[in-house]
Amino acid sequence: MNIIISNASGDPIYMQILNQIRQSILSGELQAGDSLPSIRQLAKDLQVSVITTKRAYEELEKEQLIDSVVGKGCFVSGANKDFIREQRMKRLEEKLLEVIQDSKELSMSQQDVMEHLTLLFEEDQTS
Amino acid sequence: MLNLLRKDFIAAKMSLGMSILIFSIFCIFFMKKEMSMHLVGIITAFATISSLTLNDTKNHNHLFLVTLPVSRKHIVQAKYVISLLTIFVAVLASYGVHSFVKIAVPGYITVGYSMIDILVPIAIMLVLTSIYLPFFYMLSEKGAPVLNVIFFFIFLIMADPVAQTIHKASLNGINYPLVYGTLFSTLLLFIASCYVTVYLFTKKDL
Amino acid sequence: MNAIELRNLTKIYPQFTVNNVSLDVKRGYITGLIGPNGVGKSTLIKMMLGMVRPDTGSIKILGCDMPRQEIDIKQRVGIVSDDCFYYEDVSIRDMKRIIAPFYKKWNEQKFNSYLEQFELSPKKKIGQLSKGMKIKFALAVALSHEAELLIMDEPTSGLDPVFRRELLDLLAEMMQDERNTIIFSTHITTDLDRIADYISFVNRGQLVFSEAKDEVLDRYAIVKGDRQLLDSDIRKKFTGVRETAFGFEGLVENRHEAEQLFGNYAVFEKASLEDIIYYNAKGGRAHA
Repeated sequence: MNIIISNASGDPIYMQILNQIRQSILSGELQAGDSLPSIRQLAKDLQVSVITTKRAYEELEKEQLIDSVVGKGCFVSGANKDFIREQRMKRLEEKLLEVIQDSKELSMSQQDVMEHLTLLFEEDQTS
Repeated sequence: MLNLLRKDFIAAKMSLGMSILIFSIFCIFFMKKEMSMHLVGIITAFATISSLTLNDTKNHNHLFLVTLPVSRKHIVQAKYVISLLTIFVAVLASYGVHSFVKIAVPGYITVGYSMIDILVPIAIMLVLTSIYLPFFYMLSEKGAPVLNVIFFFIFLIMADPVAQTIHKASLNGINYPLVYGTLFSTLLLFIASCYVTVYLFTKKDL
Repeated sequence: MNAIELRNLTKIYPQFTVNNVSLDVKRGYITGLIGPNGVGKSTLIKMMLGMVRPDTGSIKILGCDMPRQEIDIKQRVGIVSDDCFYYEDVSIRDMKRIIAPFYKKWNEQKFNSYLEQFELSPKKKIGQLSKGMKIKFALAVALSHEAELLIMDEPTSGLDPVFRRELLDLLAEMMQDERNTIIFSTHITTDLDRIADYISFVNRGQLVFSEAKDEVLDRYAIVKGDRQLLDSDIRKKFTGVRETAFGFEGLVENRHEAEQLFGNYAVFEKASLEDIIYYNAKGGRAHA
């Protein structure tokens, strides 16, 4: 997982951290049960204050994206699976919409696109 | 307390060499004089004590010392203890060297030494230190070297007449109860001085 | 839980007064004591360390009363000052021999590894060290006796930029243990303010505020605009204003209120800690 903090950004630092971790969870890069760095470790690595990372984690906890276990640290939560799936579906739909747009520009019919997709699926399975 | 004494030994390594040098030079120059033994002991003791104290002010070292886990009371007490040690060592060393020369080179030293010749320099040094140390801890960093110079002068002027008087007194027969009484009261003065200094130094802003 | 509790501290000097300062330093966090030079930061720190006795008020360090439990406190406190007042004629090794026996929890191995990391030769005399090297040595000492509270007076003033960054790492390393606390005073806010959790701002012997840094930075704002926007009522909203022929620039304490007041007529920017110090120190008197 990458977290990049920009001083030029208008967003407060805790928000930047929050957005990037949320992104990693929603994209599936971080899976339920994966452990996150401790609040203090993250503060050290990013050279920001402990309060800042704490606030980011607290917000993530509120969104039920992570769980903090006393003495063990923070983990990506499994509690909000439906939400995560929904979010990922939504993103997939966006990509599919893009495909539809592109195919229109290439004057492909719906049939053509479906066939192409089937072909790619088969290729993926055999490889 | 032990740690503070150790501190003085380590920090004063250089100046201890200086004290030995002073001791040797004065020994050589004064040896033939009647009062040599007293003077050498007193001068060496005072030079050592003043260099030990100067060491602590030279670089604002009290500011460092108070960051360590010791109380100011301990800092002062340790200085009194090490002064006492210095006085004994310097006077006894002077006695030792003079007695040795007297035996080794017969006829070189004509005066005889007795117990009183050890006790008197000790008593004189106890009084001087009792006055010196409270001033030292009360004054600022800049005041301390001035204080040392003043004391050194007082001492150069006073040393000889005092020693002469004592010598004369001892020729007229020694009043032992008086000598021990005096020594005892100088010790009391020394302890009282320590309490005063602790009080002054504890209240001081560094 | 507070690592330091100052209550109603007052100290009157001929030219300067620390006036009724009460301050809590939270345990487990880094607090920056900021303010211009000569406003009482060092005096406050000296009072915490028992070097200066307050005229009135009380001091508690790590739950212990200062000066009654001074020795216990100092076993658990590490001190780094821009001038450390070690014995000049003594080598680093001998200085360590002087210091180490005083501490119950001295960690020789840790100390040696810090010396190596900081490139300090044990044979070097204290008098030969540069200011930055002395601070490194003081830091090595402070980190080697397992201090729970690190008190630093202007620690970065003699350090080069490279070591300043390393210092941030060392401090963050210490803060991995949430029982540890750091407080430092500084008038250079740019590097250490990154990792500070709380900011206590001292000006003219008084505490202006002591809050979480993020809150301070969210609350204050720099406003820039046309001078015609300023009238005497509006001026009062500013902590300080700097006016030139081309417009004004000022610090407001309540960003939200100012945004409602000026709307689109002025430009709003995030205030830095340096802005906050500057405009507070200058007060309303700042004119270019």
